[in-house]
Amino acid sequence: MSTSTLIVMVLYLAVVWGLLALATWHLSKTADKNCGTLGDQDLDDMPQYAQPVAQR
Amino acid sequence: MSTAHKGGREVFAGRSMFIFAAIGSAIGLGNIWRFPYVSYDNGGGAFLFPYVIALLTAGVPVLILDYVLGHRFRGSAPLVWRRISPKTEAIGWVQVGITFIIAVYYCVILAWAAMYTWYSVRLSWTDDPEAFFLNTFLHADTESLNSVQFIWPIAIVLLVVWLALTAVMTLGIRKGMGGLSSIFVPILIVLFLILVVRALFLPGAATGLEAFFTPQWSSLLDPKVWMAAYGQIFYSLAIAFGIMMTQASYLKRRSNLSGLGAVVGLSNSAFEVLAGIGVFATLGFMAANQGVPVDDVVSSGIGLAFIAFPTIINSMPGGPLFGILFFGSLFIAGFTSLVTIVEVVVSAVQDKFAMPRKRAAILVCIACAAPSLIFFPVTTGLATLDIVDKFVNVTGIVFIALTSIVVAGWGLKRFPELRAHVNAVSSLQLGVWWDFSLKILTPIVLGVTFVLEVLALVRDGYEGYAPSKIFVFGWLMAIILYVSAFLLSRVSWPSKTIVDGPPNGDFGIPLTGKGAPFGAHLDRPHETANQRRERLGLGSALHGEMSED
Repeated sequence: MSTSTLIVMVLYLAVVWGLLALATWHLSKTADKNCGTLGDQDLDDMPQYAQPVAQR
Repeated sequence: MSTAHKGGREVFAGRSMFIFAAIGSAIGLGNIWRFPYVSYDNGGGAFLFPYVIALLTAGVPVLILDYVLGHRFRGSAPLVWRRISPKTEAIGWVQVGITFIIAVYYCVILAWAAMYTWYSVRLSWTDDPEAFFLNTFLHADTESLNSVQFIWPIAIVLLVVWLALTAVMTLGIRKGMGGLSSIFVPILIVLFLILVVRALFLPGAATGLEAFFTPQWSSLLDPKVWMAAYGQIFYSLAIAFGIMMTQASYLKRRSNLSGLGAVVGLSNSAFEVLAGIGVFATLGFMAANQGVPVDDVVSSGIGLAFIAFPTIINSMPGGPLFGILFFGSLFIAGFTSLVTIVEVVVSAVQDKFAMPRKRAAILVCIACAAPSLIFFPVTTGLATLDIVDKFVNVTGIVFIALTSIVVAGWGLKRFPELRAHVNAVSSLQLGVWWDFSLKILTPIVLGVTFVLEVLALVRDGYEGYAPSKIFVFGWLMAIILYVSAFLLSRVSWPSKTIVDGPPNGDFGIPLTGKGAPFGAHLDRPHETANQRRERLGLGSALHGEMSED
């Protein structure tokens, strides 16, 4: 294999598998219960519908 | 009773079960037999750039769109679209119709793969795998409109596959789809890793990899290469036709949607890059063995799996074991995908007709198995499959993906609301780039693809098949698909089904665009779920779904 092909192959694997490793690591560091802008809020203690609207 | 209104919608046991089910769905036959050729044919190593850009700008965003629709509106595809707006239910039924058609022919390929796994033991395809596949195995007839000459060995194995699938579907989400994927996806990955490592040690493997990864940088200036990258991402991820949406409807209410989307999308790509290495290392061996360039032996799809690979296995040390690994992987990858494909239909029938899980699963599997057993294990089966696959992709998947994105984004203006929902429960926050990707970039790519593909079908036909056959199994099938979807959308929902807006609260995010009203089914929509339970004495069960424990 030529050097440029070898570099592209390593780059290909590093990008795709590297991004997967990064995404998996990130997901493993987060807990579903307190993710996002809702934070620790309990959905059952929030109004079920913040602003019910009529059909448009 | 239907899970939509009895308060018993099933949920996945946990995050990992969902991930395995989603990966099992995304990783299918296309990863193994389509990606390697598409990548090779569109710039080799240089294809990495359009491919990764397509994944990040369209693949993952549309996957997250599927997830948020299923998660927010918690239902089968037709129920999700009905809850979005009374005018959009038919979109969901088209998605159900597409998965129904795919299930009908996809299962046949699994039957072939199962039979070839067994044939690998004795290399039953003899010295001429092409003649064996087309003549001895399929008795292929590409001329007739439809044959009634059954190939009984295929019909019997196909029936067994349908029976196995029915058994899995009756078990429900946790024990069926979730349990199956949690066992078979790791097995698939291990089998495929063994296959790839074996392929890398074959004589000529380096030549194959050289052909696969050699970058042709000039191809990056070719728009067709970019279209191929977006096309591969769409077909491969199984997005925008109900599968991922249905799966997300079984997620717990607090689920990290964007985090899950990134992991599932990238897992799919990681697997297909691995498949590319395995396939091209093997093709390199074939080329070296025949003393020809790799270019002369490259193929894709059914030809790659059932003709090229048996040819390679014939001349390979330890060929039978390699064959078992390859066709076994193909079968498992296909079966885990098929379960999630059929789930779209089962879930819709359950919701629309208030049917118990087992009855809906058995009914749907019989409805899919009947045309599958009538039209495909016959001498015209290969040609019929080829035409149906092409038309369902172009007139079904591409068109409905485009329609659903345009309707939700441009027509109903719901993307800001959906983005806010994702951000409410997810660690990776979406910006306006998500709206841009979905409203501008993806429709352009899908629109151009659809127009070019339809023009080509109208102008040139397809693969030289007779116009009558293309009309019956292509255009007529597409017409039946859309008319059936419209008619089903006119059927009333069970009286107790919540049909307007998200059924279990809006997560603090109100309706910001056009569509069905939120909370119209409640007498006091501002009340919290706990207050409602206390007032009505509903106990600890969550409103609208079963316990998440």
